[in-house]
Amino acid sequence: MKIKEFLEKDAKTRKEIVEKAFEEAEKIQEEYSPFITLNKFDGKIEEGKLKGIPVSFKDSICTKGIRTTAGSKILMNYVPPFDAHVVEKIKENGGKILGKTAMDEFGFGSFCINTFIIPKNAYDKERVSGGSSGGAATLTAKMSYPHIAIAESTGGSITTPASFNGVYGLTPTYGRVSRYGLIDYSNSLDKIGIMSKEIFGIALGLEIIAGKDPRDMTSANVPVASYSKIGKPNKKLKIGVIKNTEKYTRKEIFSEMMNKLQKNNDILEIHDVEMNTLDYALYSYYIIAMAEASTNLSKYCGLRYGLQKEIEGNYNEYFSKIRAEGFGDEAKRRIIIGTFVRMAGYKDKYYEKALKVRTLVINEFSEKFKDFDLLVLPSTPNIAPKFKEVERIEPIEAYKFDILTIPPNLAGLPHLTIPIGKLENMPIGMQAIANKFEEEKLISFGYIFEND
Amino acid sequence: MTKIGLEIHVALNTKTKLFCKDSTESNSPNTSVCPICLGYPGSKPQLNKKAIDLAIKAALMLNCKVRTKFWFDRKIYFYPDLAKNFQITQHEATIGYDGHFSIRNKEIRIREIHLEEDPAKIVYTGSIENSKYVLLDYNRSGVPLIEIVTEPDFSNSNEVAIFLRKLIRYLEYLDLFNSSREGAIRCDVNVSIEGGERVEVKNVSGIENIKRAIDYEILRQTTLLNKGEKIKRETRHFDETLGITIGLRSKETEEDYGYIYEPDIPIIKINEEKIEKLKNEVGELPDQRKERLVLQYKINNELATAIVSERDLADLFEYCCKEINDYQFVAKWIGNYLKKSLNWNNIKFSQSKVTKEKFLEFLKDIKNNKINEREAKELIKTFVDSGEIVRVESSKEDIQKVISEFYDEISPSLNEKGINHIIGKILKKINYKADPKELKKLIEKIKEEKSK
Repeated sequence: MKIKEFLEKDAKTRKEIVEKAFEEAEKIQEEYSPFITLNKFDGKIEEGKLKGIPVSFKDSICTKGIRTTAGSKILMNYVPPFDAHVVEKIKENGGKILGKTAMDEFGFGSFCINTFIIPKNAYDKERVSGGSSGGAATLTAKMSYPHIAIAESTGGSITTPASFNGVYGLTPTYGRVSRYGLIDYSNSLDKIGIMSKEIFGIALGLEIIAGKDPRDMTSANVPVASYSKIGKPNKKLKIGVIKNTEKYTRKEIFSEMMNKLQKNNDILEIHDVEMNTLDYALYSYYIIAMAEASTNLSKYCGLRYGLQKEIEGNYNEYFSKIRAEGFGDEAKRRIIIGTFVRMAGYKDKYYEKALKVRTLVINEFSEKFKDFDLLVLPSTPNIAPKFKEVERIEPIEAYKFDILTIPPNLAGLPHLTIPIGKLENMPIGMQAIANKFEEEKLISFGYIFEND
Repeated sequence: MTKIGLEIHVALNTKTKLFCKDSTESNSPNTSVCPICLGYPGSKPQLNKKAIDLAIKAALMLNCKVRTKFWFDRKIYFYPDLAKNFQITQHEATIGYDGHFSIRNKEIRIREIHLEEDPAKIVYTGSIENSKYVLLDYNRSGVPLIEIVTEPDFSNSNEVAIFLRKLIRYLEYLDLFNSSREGAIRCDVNVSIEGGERVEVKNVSGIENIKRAIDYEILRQTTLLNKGEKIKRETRHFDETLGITIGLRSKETEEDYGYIYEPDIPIIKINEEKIEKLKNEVGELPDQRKERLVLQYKINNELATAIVSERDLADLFEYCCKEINDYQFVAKWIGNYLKKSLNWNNIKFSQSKVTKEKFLEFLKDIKNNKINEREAKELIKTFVDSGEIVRVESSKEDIQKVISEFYDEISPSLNEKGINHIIGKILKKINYKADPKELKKLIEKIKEEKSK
């Protein structure tokens, strides 16, 4: 059922639909495990822009009174005392919390396997859902009733899983949506965004959650457009296809993307462009993300919340015991690397240099947006891999899988992944990047392909 | 030669904490806390702009250069009092640098001044070495501190004490600091004597203890050197009860805090106009003002010192001197009687309910003999407390009743001195709530009756 159709129903009918949606979520959970925590429907249907639409939240988004683990054992039984800004906004608009979706621990991963509840791909249970917002993507794909997923991306955690599961995924401009109540992975890169089966769901969700919030000093004071009222573009869009991503992408995906674009050349003016900083963005990203992550994770020590144990020894021994037990391997790896790159003697070589590279990436994008409305590239280098394929993968190879999603994330630019078809019966996607705060262009662009 | 340098921590006089809206004042432990100052997952700092203004004023007071662009850094170390296991501080671009502050004829160079958050308060259940457990009070977590770092320009503890007293006096004058708050001034003291390494005594509280710690260190280090032993670089703790310093950890290798930029707080930019405005607000400093008052109003040094102990008091003095040209009189009433009443009530003039206008009227009434001085001295006590002059005239009956108690003492031979003596006694009995001239008339009437 389409969202618009649902919104037109009377309250009684909406209530029945929402009940069914919650039941459906339970069934999906049994087969695909997209949730860490499932919520119960309280039976109340309120008004507002959502009128009862079930909304799922990635488990790194704090929900008052509902367990929030960020996919980590160290927060296994943590129940936040407050709602994140986005949760408040959804509630104010009559959205119902469907549950908390599975994710790689603290967002550390591209396949959603670095955690204790591992969702399966909506199209093939032997394949990964994608990381880190895997649960959100699988759920979005499987839900037949109206649903919006609030997810989060640091380096591609919306685009990758959305693309693997054939749904839309918007990562807004850094600062467009308040991060208040988002459990930090890397504060200068974290962006809360939306997944939906429909472009309209993306637009409606953004309209609700975007805007300045004094509780997040990095949230931007930029007016929020009526995204839900936008349609297809009313003038020709100038598109730059980032050509040098081709070498990283499976041939069929790249050519299908070109196909889709060409089919719409009445409304798109298509050019090839090169991004010189593409190869460096990956390294810059991982250094900054890990440096910040290693400091964010220091607060988890078993003292005030989260995993606790009998206190033995001095505080150092106690903290170490909790952290050794509570963090998974990938979290530990990122703490170690993240600490290393900011240590005296190495900081200049890694952390400071990575920040400089980020500036270069940002500058190159700004140059490009002088000439283009949007830049387009494939969402992922390949279709969703099988679980048994990723089991053996080396960390550095897994990091390299993010090569296409990292540039817009590192630059803090809004981007949208759009399903463009299938390869080996698995969904593939392309992503469009806009200049900062130009989410409207992405939404218009998305509508072009919606009923293709 | 002995070299002493200080890192002085002063709690800024703000109503709320540095990164959240909790009050800086509280009665019982752990009541002025929230997810931000407890470091809960998902919380973000919200900078208190007032603290920035106060810190800039402190920098200006110390003749520092003020940066027009600065930011915050994360200092990462694990300690139970640190809610996030990192402290938000300033490492690279401090608010002020390169200043000086003089004591007597010596100029102490100020290396830098920066703003940071205070950790929680650790309450030891025994001494620091043998406490089985400690208690934590997070009311202090997130209180804004300025850290003033001096060059090692002191040569003895006496100079340090003079410096700190003047510093506190100045900070209080500018309302940047409130000495009535517990443990408000804390120092890390660096002591080195020729031939030895630098030793740091951490976290000594209060001027007396700071003095004792320095004296002990000088004695300890000199004794060691005289015995031909080496002084190694280390961090020590001052035991207030025993009056000695105790080694905590050797500091052969510099601690690595792995600083990164604080990503949750955007860069702060201050324009020259703002700095000019704050400079004007700082204005004339206490010692300059005292000298001027002595010269301009020909008042004595002692009264002038009392008057400049608080800026509002000095303003009041100059305000009243515009209308009353008996400056000695005004100085006596403000520097002596008013100051004493304020001290008695343990408040500042700015905290009392007395307005400048009302106080001027009060002084005029004394000057014009509408209120006699003795009564005024009583009245000022309640004036400070309530902001009103509560002048209750005794009823005629009451006066008659009291006079009748002295009937026997009023002999026909009573001289002027004797009459005044009785008037004094009567006034005291009725709390000076009567006009002495009226009393005199009444007494003389009795005297005449008796002599008939």
